[in-house]
Amino acid sequence: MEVRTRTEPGGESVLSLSGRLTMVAGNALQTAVDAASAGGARLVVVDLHDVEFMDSSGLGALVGGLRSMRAVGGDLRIARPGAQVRTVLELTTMDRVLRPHETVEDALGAS
Amino acid sequence: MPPDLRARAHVEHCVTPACLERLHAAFADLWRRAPEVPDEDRLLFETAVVEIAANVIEHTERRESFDADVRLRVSPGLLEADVVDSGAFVPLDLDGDLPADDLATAGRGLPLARRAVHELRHHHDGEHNHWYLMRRWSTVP
Repeated sequence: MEVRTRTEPGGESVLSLSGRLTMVAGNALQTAVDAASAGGARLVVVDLHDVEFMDSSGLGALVGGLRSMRAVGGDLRIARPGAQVRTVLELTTMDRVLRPHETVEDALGAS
Repeated sequence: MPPDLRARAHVEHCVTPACLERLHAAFADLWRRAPEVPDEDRLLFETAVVEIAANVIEHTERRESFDADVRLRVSPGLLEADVVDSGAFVPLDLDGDLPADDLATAGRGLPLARRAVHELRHHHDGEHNHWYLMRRWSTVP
């Protein structure tokens, strides 16, 4: 899995993931979230458009990122999940906690 | 190959996280040879099998010469997988619910797998853990 990070003009971080989000990739995601947080971001948006597969370890990594962001008074949101990722969120009922946004812009602007 | 078997695959020595890539490749080959299986059934079955394989890789208590194999079969109306490993018996609660804590970072694998297939079974025969997964599929909506 690859993680690309960009910083929005307002200081928010957008992490674009590609590949498979599984136990192998969890550390890379957590590292990217930690770096964004250390850099001052209080909102991290994870763009899942190019994630072709996610398992429960990958979901755990997203939840870990959410916990990290909430611990500093921030938030982590997800955008553009594909069918498989959306299914995993629904089957685990985690779409209540990590609500999928249709676009990155929606996620950046959601309250 | 038995006459009613449309396709099958075998992933040997699936004991490290790198094996999950081989497992995805095996699924891609399987779906190429059985294109009649609907996308939703493919997605759910693959999700469940990868979850169980990852569970074996990550959590099974290993003994000497630990090994694990995954076998996949597509037949009319049926997707089946056997995951067999030589690890120690571990009592499992296959009917366990999702974590009560929404911010728990673990504990969703088995409930996820169970919800994605029509049958999920596990037993230990004294030497091996045997996982069996089954999902029914139909081309009729």
